[in-house]
Amino acid sequence: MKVLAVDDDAVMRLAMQGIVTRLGHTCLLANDGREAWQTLQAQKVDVVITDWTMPDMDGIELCHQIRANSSEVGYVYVLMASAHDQADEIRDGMLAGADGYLTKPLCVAQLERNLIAAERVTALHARLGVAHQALADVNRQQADMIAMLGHDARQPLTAIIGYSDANLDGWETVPDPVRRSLVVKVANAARRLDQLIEDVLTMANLDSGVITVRAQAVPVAAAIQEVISCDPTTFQITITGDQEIQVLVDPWHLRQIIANLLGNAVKYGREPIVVLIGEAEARVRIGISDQGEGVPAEFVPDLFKRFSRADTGIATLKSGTGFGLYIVQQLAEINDGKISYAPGDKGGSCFTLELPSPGADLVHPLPALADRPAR
Amino acid sequence: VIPFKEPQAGAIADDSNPRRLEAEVESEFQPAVDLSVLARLIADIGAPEQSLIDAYLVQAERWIADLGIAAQEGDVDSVRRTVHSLGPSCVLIGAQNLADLLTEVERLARLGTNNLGLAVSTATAEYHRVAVTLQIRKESLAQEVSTAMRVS
Repeated sequence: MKVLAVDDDAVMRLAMQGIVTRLGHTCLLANDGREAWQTLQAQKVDVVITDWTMPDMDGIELCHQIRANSSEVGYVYVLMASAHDQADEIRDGMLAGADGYLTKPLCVAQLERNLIAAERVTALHARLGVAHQALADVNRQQADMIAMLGHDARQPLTAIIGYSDANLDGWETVPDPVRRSLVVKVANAARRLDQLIEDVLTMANLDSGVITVRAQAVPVAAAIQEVISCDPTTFQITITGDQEIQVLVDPWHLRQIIANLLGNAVKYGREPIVVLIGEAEARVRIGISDQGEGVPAEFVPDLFKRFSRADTGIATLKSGTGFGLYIVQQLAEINDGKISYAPGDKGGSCFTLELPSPGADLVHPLPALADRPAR
Repeated sequence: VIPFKEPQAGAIADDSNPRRLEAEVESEFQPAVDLSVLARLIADIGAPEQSLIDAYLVQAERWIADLGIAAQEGDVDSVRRTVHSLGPSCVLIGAQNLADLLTEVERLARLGTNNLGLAVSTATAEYHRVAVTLQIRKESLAQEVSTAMRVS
């Protein structure tokens, strides 16, 4: 710990410096309260041991100063060391802001005991500060997420309301092919909304640790085709590699992973989007690449962190919750897999999902979307 | 060693207390500084004894002078403040008798009695005894060092 000994008595300063140093701490010295306050403003100090009666600024005033400016100097453990040894004087010292009181003449054992307590309390305060900062970060991220979620949910909702109204307004006059196209648009918007809600619920389940994995053999190409058909895009998506490969995974988790990765490729990338399926050493690798800008290099280390969003490049022009890739990583890991990112050879992004291959006896048909387990 | 100047008998008898009288009487038979206390302090703090003695003497000289002036001017607040500052370091270096006399000065200052001047004189005389003891200790330390150098 860094200890600041404040006393106008040179012998006392020498004694405190010797004891504090012998106990393994760093000791700074000040002749009075004002000098001590200057030191506190210039550097972080863990403990102040201050005399009461001093010229210029006394120990009581120093205590008040430290407590009134805690945002500036941080938490400082204050020990008052004084010859004022009456009960009401000690109480006044504590009320002024001291955490402990040492009566003079100084007793080495008493000082040592108080420094042990000080070390414990300052360590707790340091941990509290870190936790407080983390909590503030999470609060800010959650507020951002709620704002983003509202924005992202409103887009498909607006589409649903708009196309439904158009359908109803022209109920008598709109020809069937147009009515059908309006209903298809409503359905697509509803699916995007469903995907968003699915992500939010998945994240809540991941956070609470209640998510379960029901792994089975799933044909990869078929699962990807199904995701594409559920959320049609004008982008060209090509599936290459071995179309027969199966993977051991929870089918709902695979759908969610693929939907997020393809959704990102469509949102932030450019055509052509290529999905390459391969298998080696009992592991299936699914690569999804696009020809967009790619992920800014400085953002790559934070890519899979919760609520992280790049603050440069195309990401700044698109809305997003910032938890899509976090969910992808978490779902991949609980399915004994992993996800990685690398820039594409010709620019763009390339995400590689790696999952275990199933044994031959584990092959099951892909479950229908309507059979999705209830939450 | 400068002999301790005994205060006039009965001079502060009205405000006397058993502890003060004990301190005065014992001062004739006790060393001004208990060197074993000083040795323990040096062992505790690991500082050079000579610099500790110097630090004490420099500030005590000034505070004793301030104390005399404050007592002459009847400034009891200054008397109390100075005594408060000087007392703890006297205990620390082993000058317990001087510390007791300063406590008595503080008590009289609080009461605002006429005998404050005499009490301050008594404490000042005791301080001189302490100062001489510490000077002798310093000389003896210096001699030990020079002997050790000659031997080596």
